[in-house]
Amino acid sequence: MRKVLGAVAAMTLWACGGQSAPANEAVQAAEGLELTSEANAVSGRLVDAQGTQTRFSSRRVEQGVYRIEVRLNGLTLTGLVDADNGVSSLDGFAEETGGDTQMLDGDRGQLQALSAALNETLPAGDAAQPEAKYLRRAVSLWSQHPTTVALQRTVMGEQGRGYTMLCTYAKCNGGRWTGSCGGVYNWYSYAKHDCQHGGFEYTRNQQIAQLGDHATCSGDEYYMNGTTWVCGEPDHWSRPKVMGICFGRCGGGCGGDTQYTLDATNHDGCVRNGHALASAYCDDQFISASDDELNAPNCY
Amino acid sequence: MMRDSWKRVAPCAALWLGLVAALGCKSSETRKTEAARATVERFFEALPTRDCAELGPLLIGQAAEDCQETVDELNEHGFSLVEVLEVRVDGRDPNAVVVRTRVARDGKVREEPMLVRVEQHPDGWKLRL
Repeated sequence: MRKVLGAVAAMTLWACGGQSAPANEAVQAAEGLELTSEANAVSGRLVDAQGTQTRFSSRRVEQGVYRIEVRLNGLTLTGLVDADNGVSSLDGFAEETGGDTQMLDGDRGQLQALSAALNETLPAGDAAQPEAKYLRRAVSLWSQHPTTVALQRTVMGEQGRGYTMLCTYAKCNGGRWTGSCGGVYNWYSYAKHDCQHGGFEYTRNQQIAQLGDHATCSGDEYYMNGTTWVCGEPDHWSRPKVMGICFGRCGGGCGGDTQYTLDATNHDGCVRNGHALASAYCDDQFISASDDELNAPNCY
Repeated sequence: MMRDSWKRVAPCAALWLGLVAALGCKSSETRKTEAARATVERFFEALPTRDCAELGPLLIGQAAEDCQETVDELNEHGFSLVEVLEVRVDGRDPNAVVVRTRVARDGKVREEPMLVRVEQHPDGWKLRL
């Protein structure tokens, strides 16, 4: 009797399942970014070629405070960003159980795709609505989150203490924010990190950088080899000159915001110097750069 | 007479036996967290030996494939375990445990805790570094 009831229940579930909303959504979900903007809120989803969805929302909950949520792979990421006071609470947990979890490679991959899609779709810099701008910043931050760092944390950002702006160093060639430097550079020294090779003062952990949006090569940066610019990334050379792909800007590569800061420069100096984006050796730089990404103003 | 006494004692004995059994049998979650903690402690204890015959089986993924390189790097940087702060089963994967640790590098204790992922595999618990 139990077997019969079980079979009936299974058939009923199968029949109903064929018409359920999630199944329909999965069939109908078009590849790409869907974005809906309403008063003080933005929401949507990104669907990749395999039909995997990343859902997101950001809404103003009171003046200068934004509630951000991103859901993917059974992971819920939340952020409460108090932009006026420079305090943000970030968290991440398993959607089904509410239990703790970690950011894994697959999660970062999806978040990087979402970050790229938002950068492409949303108006750049402060032209984006605040709820969209802080969503873009939070997604960019999560997309670089190392596996070894806890998802639940408080990020405090205050100019001078939390972050130091390096806008001036993002200009070259007589004050240009973008475009070729024409051989006239404005070097920042040094981008520094510490790792298995040595501490901050070790010259192979330092780079002389032209910050800013001045060049790119196949999605990579340039570094000076003798007297020639080479496309790629030096691996613990002694104080090489580097530039390109928005070195020093918060976020991976050239994001939709234009925040050039000290901690973001040091983070780039780590992840673009022989270490992977999620390398545990760059954890310290990532944590230091988190408040910069959420709170620092755009340079232009 | 004997049978009546047994009737009186039996429920009490069953209760005690149940309690002892409950205390004796650890929950699945406890078993996992204890195994994961032990694996992390064992790995860091053995790390200074640089012996991949011992350390290799405790690793999984790229770190296992490049065991000697991984182990040498960690030693060059003076990586050591200071304490295990918290151990929890991953909310998304019942076969993975997240171990929150405090570690030291080059003799300096890192302020920010480091999460170490330990996964259950057919041949034992392994760290994914």
